[in-house]
Amino acid sequence: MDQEGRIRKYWHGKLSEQEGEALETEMRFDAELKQEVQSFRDLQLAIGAAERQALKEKLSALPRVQPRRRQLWPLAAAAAVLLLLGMAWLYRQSAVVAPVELFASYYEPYPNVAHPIVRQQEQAGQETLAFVAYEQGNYSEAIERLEQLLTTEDHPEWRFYLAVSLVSQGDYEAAQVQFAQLSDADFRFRSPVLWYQALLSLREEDTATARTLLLQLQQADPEFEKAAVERLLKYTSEW
Amino acid sequence: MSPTDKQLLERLRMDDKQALEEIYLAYQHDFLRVARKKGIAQEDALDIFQDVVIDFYQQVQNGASSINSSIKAYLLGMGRYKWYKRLNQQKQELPLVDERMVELDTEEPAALTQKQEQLRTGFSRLSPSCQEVLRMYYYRGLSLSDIVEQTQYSNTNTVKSHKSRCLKRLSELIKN
Repeated sequence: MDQEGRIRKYWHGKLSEQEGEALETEMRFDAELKQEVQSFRDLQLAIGAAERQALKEKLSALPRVQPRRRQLWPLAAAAAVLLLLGMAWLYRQSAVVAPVELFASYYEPYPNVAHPIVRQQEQAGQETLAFVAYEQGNYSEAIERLEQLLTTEDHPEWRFYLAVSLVSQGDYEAAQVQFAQLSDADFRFRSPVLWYQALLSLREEDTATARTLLLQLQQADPEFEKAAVERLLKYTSEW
Repeated sequence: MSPTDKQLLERLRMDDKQALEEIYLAYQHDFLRVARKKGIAQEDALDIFQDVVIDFYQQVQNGASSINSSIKAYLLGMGRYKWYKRLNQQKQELPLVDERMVELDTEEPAALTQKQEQLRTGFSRLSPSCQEVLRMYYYRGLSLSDIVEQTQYSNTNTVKSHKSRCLKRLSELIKN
């Protein structure tokens, strides 16, 4: 190893402990070597200082790092998702209640178009009395008289108004039984039968049946309660 | 130590100054934030951080630094030491060393002698190629053959003769 190589390794910690001690021993007896070792060190430190100054200038010229703005969009996105989930939950919650309420919103007794009442009719028959009671909203009497009439003849229109009266009276199960007997496709009140059955199914939260009945109604009589049927079909499709 | 830190260290050892800038920019904000919590003025903190990064760079270059923790923790530790030392110099009684500084190589660069200062001035006036070859040999401690490997020099004799001419030029600059 040449002398300069030894000195370089000495100052860069690359000599073994023995080699280092040997060089230090030599320096004690060799002034020229000692001077060479010191000269190397002087230059090493001088270059280090120059390097340090250059690096300081270099780093000072770099842009100051601005504090990182907290990324708000993930929070905003999470909040939006939570909001949507919340809205969906609320919507679903409201939808759970809605079928029952829908029935109340949409149900109306069917007008008496089967047996028009002539005012001041002196000799009223049983049928007339039944429909007078019906038009007056006296459903219990209407039910009683219609049931009595049905014992004499299985008249679909009497049964229809009996079913509607039962619904109006709040006897929904009995009404369903009566509506179920009015399945003849040619029955002139077939559309309102399907409509009432659908509403009663909604009331029982049986949206699948309600939807089936509404689709049947829409196909059979597209103009019947058109807007209401479309709304309820949309509603039941979301379930 | 993370793989990223290991890569950065290796690049520093290979004298990659881009790695130095990356470290400086990557940890500056964290360093200043810690300094702010300690009530250190941001300009002082930035000055300390620059010194810390340069010390770290020079220690890695000289092979004097052995880091087991992350670069960030090492820089923060060195910064804490430098800050306490600066306060002590202002005659404030503060503990200079704590357990978090055990790993740190906190040797401060010594003040230059008159001769060393002359050399530094002369060195800065040398040509870039002279500065580079002297820097590689004396400052980084590379052998002549290492320099051939890392540069365009064709062989060690060329490096040796170029180094000799540069030393002669440096000597002339100092005499003048």
